[in-house]
Amino acid sequence: MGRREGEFGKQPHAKDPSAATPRSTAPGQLVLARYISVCLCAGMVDTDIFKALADPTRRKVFEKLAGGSLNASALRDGLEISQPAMSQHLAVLRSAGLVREQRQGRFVNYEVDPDGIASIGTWLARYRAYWPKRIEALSDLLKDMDQ
Amino acid sequence: MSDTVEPDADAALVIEYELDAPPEKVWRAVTIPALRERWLPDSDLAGAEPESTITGEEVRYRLRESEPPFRESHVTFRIEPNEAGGTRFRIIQETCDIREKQPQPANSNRRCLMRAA
Repeated sequence: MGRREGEFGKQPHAKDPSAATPRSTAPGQLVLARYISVCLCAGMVDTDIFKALADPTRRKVFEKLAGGSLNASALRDGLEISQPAMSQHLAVLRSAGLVREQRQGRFVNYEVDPDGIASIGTWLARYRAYWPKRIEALSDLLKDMDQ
Repeated sequence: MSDTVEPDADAALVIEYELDAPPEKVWRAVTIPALRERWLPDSDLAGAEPESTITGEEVRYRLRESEPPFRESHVTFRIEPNEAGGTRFRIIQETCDIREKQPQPANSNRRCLMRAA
């Protein structure tokens, strides 16, 4: 979080909270607004991840890479897919932050990007913990209800 | 590359539970607002009304996180009888694509934010 806020902090702000006039937004509110906007950006990235993995071919590509880094032609092995289509899928996976490329001279290898995985993990972990509590409450309610 | 996404294709989280109560009873607990509120509070939803309903089988709500970043998602509850006379209760949660209707700028720096996450 600290780094992200830092990036936003660099931008010059017309309303400097420390120089707030009586009519401008309270410093606390400004800080909160900034926090929310930063987090919304992070939320959109999460959405990118799920969109990227919504496509069955991209899921297969991603699963192959989960086994270790591969070059584009090794990735195409066993998948009926053209080279341009593969580049497009890789571009989507890369822009979602799920896959990164490693260049070694003329050769490019693709591998899973650990940061992307961490982001999926956070979202899933939150709701994996959420639903059992809700279901417990639902079960209690069902016991209380008349047939 | 296909851009068409089948309805179930981007399910992000699917959890299945077996409940002791019969499906009709579970249906009431999930759809009658006063009952639903007792286990799935309004504060966790983007709207108290279901987004869609197939009577007795399926109901879909829009969820909203109660704290920042307030991400929204769809949740579908599927209800069907199980072998034990109870209910198989399936939770299917999908993220909403909030950028769906917006053009994407080529110079977006979203990836940088991703890195910092």
